[in-house]
Amino acid sequence: MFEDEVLSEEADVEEDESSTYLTFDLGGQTLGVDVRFVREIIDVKKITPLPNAPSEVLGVVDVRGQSVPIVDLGRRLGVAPGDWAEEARMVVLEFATGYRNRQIGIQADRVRNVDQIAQSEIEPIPRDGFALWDAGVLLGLSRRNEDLIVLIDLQGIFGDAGDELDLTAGAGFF
Amino acid sequence: MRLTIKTKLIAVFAVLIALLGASSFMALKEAAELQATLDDMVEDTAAQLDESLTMEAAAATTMSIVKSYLMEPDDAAATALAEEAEAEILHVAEAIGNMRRLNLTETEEAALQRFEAEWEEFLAAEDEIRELGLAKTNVRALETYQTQSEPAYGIVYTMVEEIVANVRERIASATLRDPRLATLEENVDALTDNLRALHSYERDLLIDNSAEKIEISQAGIEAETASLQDHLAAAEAVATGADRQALDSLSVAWQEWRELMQATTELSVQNTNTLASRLLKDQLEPAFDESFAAAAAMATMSRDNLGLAQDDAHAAYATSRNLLLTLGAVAATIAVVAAFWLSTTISRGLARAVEVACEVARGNLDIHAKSDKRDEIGDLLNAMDKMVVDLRDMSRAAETIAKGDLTADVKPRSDEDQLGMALRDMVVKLRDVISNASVSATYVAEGASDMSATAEQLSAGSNQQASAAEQASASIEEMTANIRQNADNAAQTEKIANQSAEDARQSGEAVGNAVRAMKTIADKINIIQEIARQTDLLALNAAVEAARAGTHGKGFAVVASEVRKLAERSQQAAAEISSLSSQTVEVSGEAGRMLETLVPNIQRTADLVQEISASTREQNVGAEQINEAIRELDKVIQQNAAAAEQSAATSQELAAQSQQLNAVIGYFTVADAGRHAAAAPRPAKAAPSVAAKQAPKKSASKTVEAFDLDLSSSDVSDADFTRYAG
Repeated sequence: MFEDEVLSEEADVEEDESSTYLTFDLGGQTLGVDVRFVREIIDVKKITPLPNAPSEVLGVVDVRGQSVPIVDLGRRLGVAPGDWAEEARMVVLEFATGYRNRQIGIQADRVRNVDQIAQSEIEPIPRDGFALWDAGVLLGLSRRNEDLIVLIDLQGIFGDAGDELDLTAGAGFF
Repeated sequence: MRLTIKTKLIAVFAVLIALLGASSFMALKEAAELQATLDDMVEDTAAQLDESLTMEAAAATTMSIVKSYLMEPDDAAATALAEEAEAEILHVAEAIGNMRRLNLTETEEAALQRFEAEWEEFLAAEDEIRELGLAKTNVRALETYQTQSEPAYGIVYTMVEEIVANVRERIASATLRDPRLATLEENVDALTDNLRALHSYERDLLIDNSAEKIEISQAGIEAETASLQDHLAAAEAVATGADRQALDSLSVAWQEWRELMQATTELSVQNTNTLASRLLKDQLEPAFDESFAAAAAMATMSRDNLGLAQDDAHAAYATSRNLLLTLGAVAATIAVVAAFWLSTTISRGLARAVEVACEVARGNLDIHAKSDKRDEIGDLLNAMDKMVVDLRDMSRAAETIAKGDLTADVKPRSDEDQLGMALRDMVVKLRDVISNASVSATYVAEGASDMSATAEQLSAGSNQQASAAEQASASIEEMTANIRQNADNAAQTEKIANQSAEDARQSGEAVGNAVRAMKTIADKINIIQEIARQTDLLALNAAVEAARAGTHGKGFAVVASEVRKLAERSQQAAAEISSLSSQTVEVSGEAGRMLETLVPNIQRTADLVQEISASTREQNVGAEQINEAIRELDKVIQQNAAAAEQSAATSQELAAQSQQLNAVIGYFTVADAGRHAAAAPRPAKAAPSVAAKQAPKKSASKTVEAFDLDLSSSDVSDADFTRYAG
């Protein structure tokens, strides 16, 4: 708890210059998430499906004695699911919401790297003309060599709104 | 004159048959006479006797029947007996008739007439008696008395008694004497007496049959009847009332009895039975005695006649017996003499014939059997003599043949002369055989010399055969060596092939081991990979932590990045090793599979090589056997060569023998000398069946015995030998 608070303060400090992102592949795309929300990267484990869970929630896995729900991020983002590979991992995310940290797991086809991406390297989403496109969850695009890394705002997806994601409630996001 | 045995026999038998005929005729004649006598005896004398006996018996029977019917009380039975008597009388009459039909002498006739006269008398008496006898008045009188008169008397008497009793009672009861009653009583009493007297007279008549007694009784009956009538009238005169009625009824009963009594009396008075008895005694019995005597006299006469006839027959028998005995004796004497004479003649002649036959059978033909007798025995002996002469001729012909002279012709004496024909055939056959044998001997000589040449050729051929066989043997030897080499090579090949198969199997196992090792390596590499991955993950997490640590974690972030790079490199290297090792496994697996398919092929090759080796060994053995066989063949060929030489020698000897045979056959003289020379070609054409067939057969069989070589199976010719040798 204590450490969490410290981390958030430090992140705020460094945000001005550049941010560190964890890049990973999902459904043929390379996505990037802020490393601050990343708690841990683990090997793919057996997902225990939960009855009556929302369709995005695939189930729960055990991470050091703690049950972490696994959310189908590809489906959440409308990304086609990629091929399961040797390098598939699970990324445990952690959000500091209210009085406790909330952990959510997502699947990644392959974890690429932990990169520092300067703010200047981040291009905005080319959404002119698409009025209906809700690009709120996208932070921008970053070029790395010829690949484009799509940076995702996890806070936007799981952050405040993520409070609603109460497993005990038994309902979905919508 | 020719006096044959036949004639003699016929003469003797003729005499004997004549004597037999004479004696038979005599016997027949005597028998006929005897027959006539017997006939006479049977027909006349015996018949007479028979008839007179019949008469006698019939007369006696008649007499007894007459007596019977006189005694018979019953009328019907008496009548039947009378009829029987009549039948007997008829018998007598019949017998008399029969007698009359016979031839009777005068004395017999007289006797018969006497009997007839007596019999007539008897018949007359019998007639008289029968009438009286059948009347039977006495019997009827008794019957009438018993059945009618006696009861009627009883009635009358009872009535009288009653009247008397009645009257006497009245007299006794009357106080004064009534004279009427007394008179009545008196009369009735007298009447009773009269009745008793009448009854007595009546019974007297029945009992006594004498004439005086009958007269007395008749007179008594008349007197008593008159008296009774008087008394009855007197009684009626005095009777009154009831008495009168009683007397009336008495009178009626009296009248009844009186009539019956009169009938009885009349019958008694007739008295026929007594008369008949008297007639029987006085007339019939004397007549019967006389006629019976006459019949007996006739029978005696007949018996005497029979005795006379028997004597005649005896005399005739004696005469004929004597005559027949004499004739038989004469015939026997003649037969004995003739039999002795004939048998002596025949046996003497036959003994001579037997002697001749025995001598001939012994083979002695110098015997003479001629006889001058002119009977059958003489004929037999002459025929035997002829036979002996003929046999002598035949033996002389046989002697000639034995001397070798076959020119003589034997002529059989007849178609049945089997010995003659056999001799003739023998001469002819001998002539043929000798000619043929001569020709054959010539042929044999020629054949023997030919055979000698052939045998020499055979010998040469055998030598060539021997060299050829040796050559073949050498070739086979070489072949055997080659085959042995082959067998050795095959065995070696087999060994190598087996070794290769074993090696291949071991290679397969080695490859398998390599594959397993590779798989182990792959497993280990996986561990390394896993470690690298974990390291990568850890490095990533470290990087995340470093990033989250911000500026403080920068150095750590660099380390983490480096570690991560290392991990990625090791992971890459491990992946490469893994892929390499999996490739190696694949290649090794392929190599293993190839080796696995290789092993059976190599094994099969080894097996085939083994088979080749075995068959080569067998070939080797076969070649050895062939070699052995050729050696044997060589030996046989050597022997054949020797045999051929021997056969040449033998055929020369055969030629010599055939010449000797010719010389032997020369012993026989056949018809003419020119024929012997000409005979040589002739039989070859005319009778090849004999000459040609016999010649080769004989030579063939001889060859077999001499050389133990089978030349008879096929025609041996020179061509065969040349072909074989070439």
